[in-house]
Amino acid sequence: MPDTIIEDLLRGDRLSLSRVLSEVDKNTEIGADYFGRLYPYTGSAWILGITGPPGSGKSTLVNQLALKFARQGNKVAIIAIDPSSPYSGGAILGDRVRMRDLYGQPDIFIRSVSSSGHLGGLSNSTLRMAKVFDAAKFDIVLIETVGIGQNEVEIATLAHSTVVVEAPGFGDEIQAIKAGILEIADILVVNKADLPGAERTALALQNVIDLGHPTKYTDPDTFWAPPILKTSSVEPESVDRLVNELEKHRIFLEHHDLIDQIESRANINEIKYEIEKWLLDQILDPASNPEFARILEQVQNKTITPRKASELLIAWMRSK
Amino acid sequence: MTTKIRVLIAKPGLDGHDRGAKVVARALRDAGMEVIYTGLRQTPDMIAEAALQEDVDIVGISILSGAHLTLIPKIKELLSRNGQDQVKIFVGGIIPDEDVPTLLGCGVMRVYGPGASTQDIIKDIQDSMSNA
Repeated sequence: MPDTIIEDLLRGDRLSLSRVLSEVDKNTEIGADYFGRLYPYTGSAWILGITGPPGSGKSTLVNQLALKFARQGNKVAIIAIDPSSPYSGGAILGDRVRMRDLYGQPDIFIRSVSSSGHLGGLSNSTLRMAKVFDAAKFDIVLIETVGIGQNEVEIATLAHSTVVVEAPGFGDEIQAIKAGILEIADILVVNKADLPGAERTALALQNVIDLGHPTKYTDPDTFWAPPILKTSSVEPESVDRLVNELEKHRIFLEHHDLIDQIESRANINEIKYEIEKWLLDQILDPASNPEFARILEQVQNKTITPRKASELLIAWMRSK
Repeated sequence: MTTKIRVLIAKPGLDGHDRGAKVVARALRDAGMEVIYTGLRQTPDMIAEAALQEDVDIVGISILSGAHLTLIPKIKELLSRNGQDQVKIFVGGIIPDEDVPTLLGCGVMRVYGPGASTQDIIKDIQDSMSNA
């Protein structure tokens, strides 16, 4: 790859951007080098997470949001994450199929990513890829999560604003009260609102919020009650309302100085990931640490507990 | 960590039959590849744009409509123009035997007809990447 790839990326060359994204996604040495060189240029993009169960129409909604934002003059990046097969590691990345309207928009860039075995709705490279787009002067990065179900809360640790999308008839109120996905919403959307049951679903969600269901910002000084919107691809103005609420949320974050807090959380998460990766490579890999196999055997024999094993491994690490 | 091969499966033109493309897509996924499927009715420009944004290693073109001699050279031209000369093109669908040499001549790696084995396709793609 050309030596000037980073300069080219910063100048707006899209092939360079695409290649850097690949190295960062694959977590290579060269990717880490590229990322380090781009890091000083990050910090201005607004990162939006779109999550929700399969079939809620996330891709189509992302499509419409991207178009609206692009028409406002923004450069928009979409990171669309799909699950990888736990057996083969391969993946069908099919979110692009829903985004054909975005072809020809020079300021929209779509990148499909596989979760690569990572749980939580994202890939481990998602935030780094979002920051590459940030450095490349994209104004908005839309992240569409995998869409498995109730546990996809990871997006909230790295997005400034998180939209949770449901489709009508998702279940009764008891479903809605379950912890997890609803708690992370800055905005709740009942999509496919042209279908029957949309109003009932919206009311059920409203009841849950009113009953004091935990939401992200409950401190009386920085309170944000997630609005509940109904959207439909057959009603374009419904997406305008979503854009308005997102802009209101952004102003709320800026007004209460919450951006730093969000980014700090995201950075802690990233550092945590890097440390965990190092631990796995250095300490917990029998190939690089023969001690580990020996200690594990003692746990298997019930000679020592897992906690004792961890103390031994930490002592071993300190002695190195 | 082994590098995953990224493949774009594209359906250019007005051809609406994508069962074959989807069968191949699933087979490639089961062989550990990341497969981006474009959906139907793509223009050569849309396919080249997707190949660029997704930084794919391989473009697999599925075409049953007979327009292959028009569409495939155009796709190759656009890939080159975008700086993606190294992307390898494989073609599947309904391609008359007499047109195969023309396609191979303009940069296509292999042409697969109906009944081609997905295992052959997988092996050819993997071989093409290890020779890169």
